[in-house]
Amino acid sequence: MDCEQFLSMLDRYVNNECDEAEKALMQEHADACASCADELSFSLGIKAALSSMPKLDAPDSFISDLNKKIDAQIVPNKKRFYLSHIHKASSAVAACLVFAVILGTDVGDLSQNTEPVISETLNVSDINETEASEVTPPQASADIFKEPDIPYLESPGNYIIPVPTSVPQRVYVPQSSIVNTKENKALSPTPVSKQSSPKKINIDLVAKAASKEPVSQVAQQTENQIEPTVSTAAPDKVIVVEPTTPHSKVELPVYMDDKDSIIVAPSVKKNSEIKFEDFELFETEKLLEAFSLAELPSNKAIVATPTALTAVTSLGDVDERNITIVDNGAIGGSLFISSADEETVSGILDKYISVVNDKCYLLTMENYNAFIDELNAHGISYRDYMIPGKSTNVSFKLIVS
Amino acid sequence: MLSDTNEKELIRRCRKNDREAFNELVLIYQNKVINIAYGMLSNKDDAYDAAQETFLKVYRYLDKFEEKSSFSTWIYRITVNVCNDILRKRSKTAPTISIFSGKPTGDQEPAELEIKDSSPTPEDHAESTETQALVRAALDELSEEFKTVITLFDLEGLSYDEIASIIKCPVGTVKSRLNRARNALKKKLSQNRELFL
Repeated sequence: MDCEQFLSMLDRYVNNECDEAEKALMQEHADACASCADELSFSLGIKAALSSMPKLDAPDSFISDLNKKIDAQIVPNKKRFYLSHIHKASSAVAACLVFAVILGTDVGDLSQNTEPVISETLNVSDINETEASEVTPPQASADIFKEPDIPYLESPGNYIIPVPTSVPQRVYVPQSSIVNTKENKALSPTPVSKQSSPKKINIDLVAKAASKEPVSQVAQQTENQIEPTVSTAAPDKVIVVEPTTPHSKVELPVYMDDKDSIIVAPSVKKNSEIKFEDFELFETEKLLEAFSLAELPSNKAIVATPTALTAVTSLGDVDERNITIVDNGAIGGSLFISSADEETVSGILDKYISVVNDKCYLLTMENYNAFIDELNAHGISYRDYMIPGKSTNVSFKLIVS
Repeated sequence: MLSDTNEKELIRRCRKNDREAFNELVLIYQNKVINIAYGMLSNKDDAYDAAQETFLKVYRYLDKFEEKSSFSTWIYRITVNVCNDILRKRSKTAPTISIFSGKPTGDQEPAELEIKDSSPTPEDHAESTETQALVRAALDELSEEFKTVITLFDLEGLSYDEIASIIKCPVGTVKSRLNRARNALKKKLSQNRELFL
């Protein structure tokens, strides 16, 4: 056994997953190699430290405290509805929308052949300029990753939240435009078009509310405002997709806790526009029940959280890395790598990527092409979502493998 | 540990708003839930709050538990999600991180990150030795993903299969993530290596 083999088996050895023959080889090598022996000692020491970390006991009052909260129906973390800001990077709209496009075997319009790598360009129209102008864009470069203050709604009620017809990275909605009303009027559907008022999203919280306290918010008329009406109609099916990295956020109006969920959208044809009304919502488990990958209808695309995505795409024994591509301080795109070859991937990442506090990987545009070349040379699958920095219409190139 | 039949019976009673049955379930799982939360949050008070929130959600959503996974998997999944919510809220209040100050060149190194020291104070810890405190601090600096797998596997002794069910990913991903998490932990602890030899 050489050092490379020893180190590759170290984790299994520490986890006590090696058979007797492997253990003997490991021990033999450790006896002969001081450096590997040291590494083994270090790994075992950390494992021992983790195993012996002190445990907490629930305080005596835990159950009574809990029961008091249940009785009072006080919920520490209510459902929150985040409305976030339009974010401009450089001179472009930095819409880092992550679409995981999972296509069935017959992809119709979306592919010309049955090759495993399929590409399609999706044009997403720019965000509403009126709304954009209501926001002071953050400073470029240095503040590019600064999270703006996000107003959120914490109280139950029926809310109507105006949302642009396009699917932007972030949408600013003036908080004064958010209406909570209690009138029982049917909400007639608003025609959706680029020029018209933004689509109304009706969120029904009443059924889920723990508190019955009303919230008063009065709509103020602005150019893109809608009349304050409410409906008892079933809520629109909207879900927030979790960010792939801290810097490539996709936020739709509603944050749903507890579950990973999946939106199934219609065919992502060229120049098409994704509309909220076209989305269907599935919980991960139900989606898996509804169709396996092979059975996925060819006109369906899926927008998913990373966790749900992993479940749906059944990547198997692979490891996904989410990488943000930075272009001159602006977000240039994001990229997923899927590979079971941990060692090769780590090697390539180390060469090109700046790791920032374990939370995200950053790759510069300058190194991007070389990085992709090396992934291709090793036959490593990836998906990248690049944003052309200068255009006002944001295009996405989707590479599905 | 309660048998499956007894647990199913408790759940059945809970669904009929039997508070006694609910309290019995809480008693069975409270320590595990608190310790998973402590592993992820590194703060006793936050762990307590997260555990309370977990059981509130269990109480509220028990009718949605369809028994496709085990009850423990379901509770631990809620715990992990609640903790991840708290961790994300923590990171939203972190100060601006400046990554690049100008056009990147081949030689450009990323700017130093200015990260506020939000490490737990001694009062937040249960650790009694320097080694344990170092491990806790290093664990606290890991990403959500890494914290989760280290907590569930190394601190709480759950199996790969259980963890895969909880975080809804394949066993292979759990293993590779654990591998990377341990490497990340080792990197953070490498300056104090001699304490672990």
